[in-house]
Amino acid sequence: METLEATELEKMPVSPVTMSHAKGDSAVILDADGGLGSWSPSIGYLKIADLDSGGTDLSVNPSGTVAAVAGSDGFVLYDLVNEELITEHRGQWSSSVAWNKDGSIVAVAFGKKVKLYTIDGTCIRTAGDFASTVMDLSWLPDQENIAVASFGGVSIMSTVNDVEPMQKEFVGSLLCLAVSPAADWIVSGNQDCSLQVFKIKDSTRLEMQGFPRKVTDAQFDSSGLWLANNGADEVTVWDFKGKGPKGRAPRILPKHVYGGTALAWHPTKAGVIATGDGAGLVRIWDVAKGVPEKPMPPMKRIKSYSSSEVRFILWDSTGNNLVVCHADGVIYQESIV
Amino acid sequence: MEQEEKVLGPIPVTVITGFLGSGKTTLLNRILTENHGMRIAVIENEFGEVGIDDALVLSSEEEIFEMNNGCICCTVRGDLIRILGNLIKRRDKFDRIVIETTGMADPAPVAQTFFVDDELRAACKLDAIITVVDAKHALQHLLEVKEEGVENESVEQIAFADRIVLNKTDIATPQEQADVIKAIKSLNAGATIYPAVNANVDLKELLDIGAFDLQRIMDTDPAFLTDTEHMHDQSVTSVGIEVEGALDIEKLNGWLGMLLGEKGTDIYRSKGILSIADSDERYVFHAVHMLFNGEFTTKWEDAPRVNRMIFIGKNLDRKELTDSFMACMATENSKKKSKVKV
Amino acid sequence: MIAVNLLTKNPVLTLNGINVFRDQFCAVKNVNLDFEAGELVALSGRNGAGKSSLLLAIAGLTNFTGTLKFKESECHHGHHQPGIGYVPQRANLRWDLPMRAIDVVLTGTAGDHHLAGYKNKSKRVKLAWEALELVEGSHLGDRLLSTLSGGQAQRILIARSLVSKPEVLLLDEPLSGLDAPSSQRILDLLKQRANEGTLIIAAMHELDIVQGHFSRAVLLSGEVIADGAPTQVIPTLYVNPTLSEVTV
Repeated sequence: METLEATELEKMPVSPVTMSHAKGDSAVILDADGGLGSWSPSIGYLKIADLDSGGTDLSVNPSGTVAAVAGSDGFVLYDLVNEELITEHRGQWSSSVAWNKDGSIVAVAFGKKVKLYTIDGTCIRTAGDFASTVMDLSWLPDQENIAVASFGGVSIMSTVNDVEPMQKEFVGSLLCLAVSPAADWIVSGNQDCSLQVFKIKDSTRLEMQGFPRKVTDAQFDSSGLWLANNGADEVTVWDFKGKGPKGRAPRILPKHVYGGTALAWHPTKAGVIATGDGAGLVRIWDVAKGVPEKPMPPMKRIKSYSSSEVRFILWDSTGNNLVVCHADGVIYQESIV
Repeated sequence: MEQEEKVLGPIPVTVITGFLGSGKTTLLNRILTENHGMRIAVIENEFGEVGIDDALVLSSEEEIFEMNNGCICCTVRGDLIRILGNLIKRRDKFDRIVIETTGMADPAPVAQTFFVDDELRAACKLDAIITVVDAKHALQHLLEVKEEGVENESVEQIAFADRIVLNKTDIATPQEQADVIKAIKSLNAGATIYPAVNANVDLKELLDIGAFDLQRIMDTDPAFLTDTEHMHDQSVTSVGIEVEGALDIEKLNGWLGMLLGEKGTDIYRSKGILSIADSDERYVFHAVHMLFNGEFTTKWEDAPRVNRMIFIGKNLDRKELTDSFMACMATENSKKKSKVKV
Repeated sequence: MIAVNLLTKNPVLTLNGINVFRDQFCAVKNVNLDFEAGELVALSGRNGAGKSSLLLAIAGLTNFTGTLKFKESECHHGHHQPGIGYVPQRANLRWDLPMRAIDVVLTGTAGDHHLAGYKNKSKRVKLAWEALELVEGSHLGDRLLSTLSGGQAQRILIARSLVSKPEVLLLDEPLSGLDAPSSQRILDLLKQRANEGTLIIAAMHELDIVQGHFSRAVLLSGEVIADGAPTQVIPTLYVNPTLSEVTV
């Protein structure tokens, strides 16, 4: 059987941070130095622009034409078609950028504030002062409200009305957010090694404390029935069916060396997730086939071309292929079918 | 089989503290411009103070987070977690990190950040905390009486320091210098003090010093234990003990284990060179909070067998410490006893 | 010897009306418990329930009121009992010191009358290496602390406490951060020590493991709210990992 050595693969010169779908089968990749590049299975990696700021987050609009890039020194909107800067704002840490569903507005975390921009770079709203630098942002499914993570909890702020944000309080430093597709739950992963689960419509809060590591990634699957999070050598998957996960033992995806460093639910198949770990291994799991509390076997293991940490996993829109991106810059696509 | 860790070594981190106007930025500029061949990433508190083209400069605004219901040990710097987290991903771009804190910064959350956050603990190592002190004006900051429960930051900055740059000696009178040195030594007798003008200290004394290295304690100026007067109304002190003779290691171990277990949160640092009965080697000891390490090192030969020990921390009782230390001295009986056991 | 202990129900450790104070707060109050040699006891409860505080009190490391007896002799705050070993929480310690793992284990030879006399370093080093072997950590001895994984670091700490062969072993969250195989190794080791007569008391948040492996569970929530066989005690609260509701 023919094997492909990692050295023959396309390798980025700088460690990647995150990636996002762009036009066709291509993806846009942000690196830790703020370099923006494109990647496609046929062409490989091409550097597009240098944004001169430690890269933190990336979001490309649904039509694949404009990238919003966040970094340690601010954020930029970059026109991927004409390869030119649309706008830039410097001087504050930016941790998160998120386009809404129709691509009309991009929400940007800017220091302790949240700013909204239209695609041409016009700022239409600035909100905050939040209790700390905003760590994550997520649009609610109604496309009107945004969940904002900062120290002390989640704020749900309206982008259209000038009303007080709804507060979901938790005394701790929040790192990441996930909003369920039916807009009934908001989940945060936290610096204090806990997972907090807030019900949106009332004050119910559930928590799981005592993960061995901080929880930096939590995501709902497309059906909203499952939530996966890291924070341990196991990836924990919670069952959100019906009344929610309270008191229900989770599914356990075992053996992630140095923890689950990348999580990616299948775009359409409920309960199917790809996970990457600190040793470069990527596995695919069908969580519905697992038994609560018992570590389950993976459905499939992907051939890995690098032993460095998996930084990002991106499914293509068909769900037949996975793009895997490692910390050492190795990127490849694998077919799942 | 057990998975082995990644091989990249931890990144050394130097923290520079000091009051506004003490010359922190001057020192930082010196570190950045001097020809030492090291690539340095700088985290500074105000953007644009340092303008070096090649250096990777990130600005930070102090964000202190209490992690766990107000427990002081769990107070960390959220801004540093963020910034260092990003720097770790670009670790091939630099050899070391220097953090410049604001004049008012409490050094404890800075130091604690490196072991409360699992990611940083694995990727970085704290090399030393350096405090820059204005020889002419520092004393008035140190003597400032704060409200009950409010820490005097300048006191904390000195208590945590491994190295102290006594800057601006050109504008301070000899008496002013002597007074400030006396005050510094009463807070932290273990830190070496470097008098300087324009922060002109040999960088070899400040970078890559491995402040926790046992050999370094041996090399420390023997005068570091000279008895000092307490400053008025001061809860942070260092207690130095210097006494000739031999210690009963059994008693010593029991006492140290108990002391650090009980007062580990109050005792920031402790270290010593000890003479143990029936051993012709120096016993060198170092502790941070309750984790401690001691081992026999070089032979005494003809040198006088003097025990030297220092504790830096809050609410230390000199008499109690000295008395309980003296109680660990070997008697004729215990000498015989330990001889039997060996 | 052990059998006699078990038959006569001679408690090795007795807690009578213990209140533990941490920074002026009463962390846990009115604890009345007897422990016998060879028991494998889990202290469980949520964060802040008083697990760590109670362990510190038994170890003589924090202030308490009430009567605490170890083998009939009364214990006081600040007086370390050589027969009681304590393994602190890994996360509370510094791992960035330039020390080797064996050096940390070596510090376990302090404070124990049988070992401290060995000023002869090679003897102490030998004991430390033996303790390391008990936690299957011999290959880690020469490694720097900063290069250890969480699981490896935990094993080093446990080895440190085992050097002095204590009669009572207190552990604060010993399995936190360990993968399943390492946890299993540590559990096997603790069970073996318990079988040989050591009383083991561990603060545990992994309730599934408590159910599967421990002989007794004490549930705390500012006070003792349940005490008994884990299968009877545990389901009354929650099974871990689980999302539990927080009441404000």
